[in-house]
Amino acid sequence: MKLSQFLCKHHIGRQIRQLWYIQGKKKPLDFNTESKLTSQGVHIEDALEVTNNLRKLNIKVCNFSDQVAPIKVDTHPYFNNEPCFLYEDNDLLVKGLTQAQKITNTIVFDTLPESIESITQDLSDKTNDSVKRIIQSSIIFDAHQQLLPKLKDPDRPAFNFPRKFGITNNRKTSNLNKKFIQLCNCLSGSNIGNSRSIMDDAFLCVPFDKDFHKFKFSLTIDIMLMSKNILRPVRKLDTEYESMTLPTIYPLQYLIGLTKSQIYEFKNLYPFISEYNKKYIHTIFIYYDSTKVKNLTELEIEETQIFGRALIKAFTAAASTARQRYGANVKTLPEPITVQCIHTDSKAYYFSVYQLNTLDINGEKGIKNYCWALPKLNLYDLADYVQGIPTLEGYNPDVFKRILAFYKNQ
Amino acid sequence: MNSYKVNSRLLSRFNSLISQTQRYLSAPAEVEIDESDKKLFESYIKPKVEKIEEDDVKFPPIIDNSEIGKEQRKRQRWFDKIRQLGIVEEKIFELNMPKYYGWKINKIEEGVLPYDPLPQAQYITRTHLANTVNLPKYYDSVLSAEELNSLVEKIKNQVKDALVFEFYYRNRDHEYNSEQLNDKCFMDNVLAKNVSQQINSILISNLCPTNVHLIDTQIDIEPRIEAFWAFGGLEQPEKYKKFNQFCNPRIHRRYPERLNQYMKYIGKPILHLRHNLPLKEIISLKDSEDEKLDIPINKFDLRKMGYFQSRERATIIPGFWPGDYSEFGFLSYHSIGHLKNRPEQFNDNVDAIIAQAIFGSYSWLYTQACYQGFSTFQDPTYPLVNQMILTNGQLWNFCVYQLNTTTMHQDCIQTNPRKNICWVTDSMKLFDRIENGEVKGFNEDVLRNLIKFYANVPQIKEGVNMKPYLEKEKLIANIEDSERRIWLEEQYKHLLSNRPRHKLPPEQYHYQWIYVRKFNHFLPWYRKSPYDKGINVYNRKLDDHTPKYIPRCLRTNRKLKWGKTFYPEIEKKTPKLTKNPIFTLW
Repeated sequence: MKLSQFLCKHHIGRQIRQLWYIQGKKKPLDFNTESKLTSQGVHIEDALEVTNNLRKLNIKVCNFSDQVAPIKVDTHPYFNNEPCFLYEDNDLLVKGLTQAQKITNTIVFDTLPESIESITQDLSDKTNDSVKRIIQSSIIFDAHQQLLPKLKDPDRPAFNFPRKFGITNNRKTSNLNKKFIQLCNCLSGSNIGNSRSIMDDAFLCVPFDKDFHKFKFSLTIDIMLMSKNILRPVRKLDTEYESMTLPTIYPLQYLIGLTKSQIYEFKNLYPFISEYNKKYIHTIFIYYDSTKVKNLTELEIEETQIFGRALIKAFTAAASTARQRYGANVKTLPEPITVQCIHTDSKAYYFSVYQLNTLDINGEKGIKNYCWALPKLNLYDLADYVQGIPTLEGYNPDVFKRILAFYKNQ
Repeated sequence: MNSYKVNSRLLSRFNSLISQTQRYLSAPAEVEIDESDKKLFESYIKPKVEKIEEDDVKFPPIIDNSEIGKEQRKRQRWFDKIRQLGIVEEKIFELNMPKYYGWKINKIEEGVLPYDPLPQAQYITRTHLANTVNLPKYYDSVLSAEELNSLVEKIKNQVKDALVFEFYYRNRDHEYNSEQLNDKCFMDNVLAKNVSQQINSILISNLCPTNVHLIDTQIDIEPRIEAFWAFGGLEQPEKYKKFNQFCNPRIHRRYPERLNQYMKYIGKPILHLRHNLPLKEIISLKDSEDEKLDIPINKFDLRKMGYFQSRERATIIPGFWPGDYSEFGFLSYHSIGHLKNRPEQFNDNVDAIIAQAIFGSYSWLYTQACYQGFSTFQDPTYPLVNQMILTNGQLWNFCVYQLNTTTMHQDCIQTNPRKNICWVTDSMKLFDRIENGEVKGFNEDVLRNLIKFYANVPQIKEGVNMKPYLEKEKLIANIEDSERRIWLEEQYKHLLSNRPRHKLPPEQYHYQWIYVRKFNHFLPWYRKSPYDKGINVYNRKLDDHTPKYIPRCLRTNRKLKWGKTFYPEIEKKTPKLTKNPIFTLW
């Protein structure tokens, strides 16, 4: 008989066999009930003694699977005795922004620096129209159709919704931002435009020590905007930092939630050779896909966790630029390094500016790094087909205004 | 003159009888005809007494009543229906109506080309290949030589910078795995993508102040291109011909020489630039009817060449849904990385590049024309132009394509005089090599061609009705009846997503073939499959299904058990209440 759709149907016999196999592997857990009960003076009898007296059965115990020996970790080429705390693309910090501040020794301000606010100008109606057209073409009218992730209703988690086809979240954000950068390029004139270049999916890796622990951040930056000249530092380093204090997350440690591993390579990675003339990282665009970036606990994501993610990505970008410029072992920087960061999921935009003052981040005293972050801004309220009509509602011109200001900033 | 009003349908029944009598009447005079016989014939064909003056005579068209003629008229009725439908999406929907499980299509994918693909590509798309190595003369008037040189000087260093960065400074070792890094085709595609994006942004930012149209262009990154068209110039496969001749002689008699075959192109361009106005035509429509423009004829079945067939939906997508503001193509970038996977003994890279250019340009322009209301059965009333760049970062090919015709189905393949025209330049090297961060042997001619493409300004076609076959509504989104609008929108997107039917088509198993078809061993109560009943499953129509069931709690009218359907129709009828579900034939 030929292989056909008939065979694809459920074979219940196989399922039952699998069930027997799984049940056979179960082992009783020790909940310490025995010791607790005896401490309270309760007499305990062995259940086997009772059952053995009743009936004796001759049962052959057969092992379904012999225990597989664990892989010997110490033979791995990248095995190290000292464990390292890793942070990767889809990870989130448990305490969000405060934990990120603790790790990177950063102080956060609530507004954007004045040097950027002074550049931001209101957009003309024509540019607003072209921004709206960009949003429509990349979010509503894009004809890309791909199987989207499963829909889940928390009230009835077993219910299967019909799967939808459409534009994936990553594609939406990447198209939108690349078109925005192109528009910025047109609007800001050829002088600024010629000094910038774009790089996709740049992979950065920054290992460092802090308080006798090893850390390694290996992250991809979805769009990296490079420039010929380094960004001017926003705030001069005075002795102010001594009065500034970091927030506390007691009773938790700042290591909470980071994956601990003994297999790692303690190596700096940078996506290009340093001789290139547009070598300074100017702005980074980070995408956020809620189906991939999740909490390990499956709890809902809080807004501080997103801020924390943006801060850590900005820190890695700044730190790798510093190591490119001043050497891999640099600790105290001769000049601060500034990186602008835009974190987006195609609807919500988080703008921040990071200034790296030092890479010596042991303890909580001494020089600290600075970060300026704006609260969330929505690019639009609704962009979709509503009852068969393509609709864009609640367009917010503030977002592109700031992207343009970031692009023009020198 | 006497004219006879004859019922043509009645007459056709007696064709054989009449021919007999004609023979009988035209026989030598020696043969005598009985008067009783004459009366009998006259009783069938009664001469009408009405007399009409000569000036007012209007003869009805003479209709071919043979089986082939009937089939042709049936097809013509379908083409007219597609022309009369007033909404873009409905026209595309209607193309899918005859097939429930999808059309059997010849699949042409970008970058998958067999040996010697050029003649077939030209024949399938009715394309004449211009006999030049340079761009058409129209491009000499786009910019003056001084402007061009000054722009080249301005841009040259930036392009060099970008090239050096992508080919020399960029370190990709830790971004891809070793398998990908060793795959030359994959790495070529990556380089082509990055270089073309860089050069596109450099050109736009530098040309923007002088060329305002570039601000309004819309950029698509890796858009989805799918085109479906009917082609009637191929030979009927020998296998089917013989099968019908011996097993199904009635059908064989009815089949014409040419049959429609359906083509589907799936493209993967790197970049698209679109504009709300079309580019200016290079030659007029009348010039495209010139007999000197020749097309090679290659009637082989596509499977013989190395393409494959599959069953898919008729999808027409130029990268965006209908309703977008900028709906005309301006420029497209394609990668030629696939040449690295071509066997060396083929030695036909030049032909492969031209074939890729022809398929890519034709499909994109044809899909744009479909959004203007034309289709594979209705020719566009004005030409459309596309500019195309094929590159792997180092080699650059420039192509200009003008779409004049889209109809090439079986009824008009021999009568249609129009041809599409394609101009392709030779492969040009942008640079020889890169050493120690410096570009050696930089070729400025490539930049000149690039600038000419970007400086070509799209224009309004004055005095031309851009959408002659569309109604006022034009799109689904403008339909007033909300129920119909929502249904059509949902179904259209579902259809074009290319997902298979929930229930797959019935299959004939081997045991059925042996024990039922060949040697009937089964008892009378054996449940017959459609194959046993002689039904062709794949001829099922799209609307041949039970409508959606409405649960009792959701009904507004108690008797309204089944949901409405709004399949495209010319006369907008009010949908009937179906009391019983429409069951399919099996």
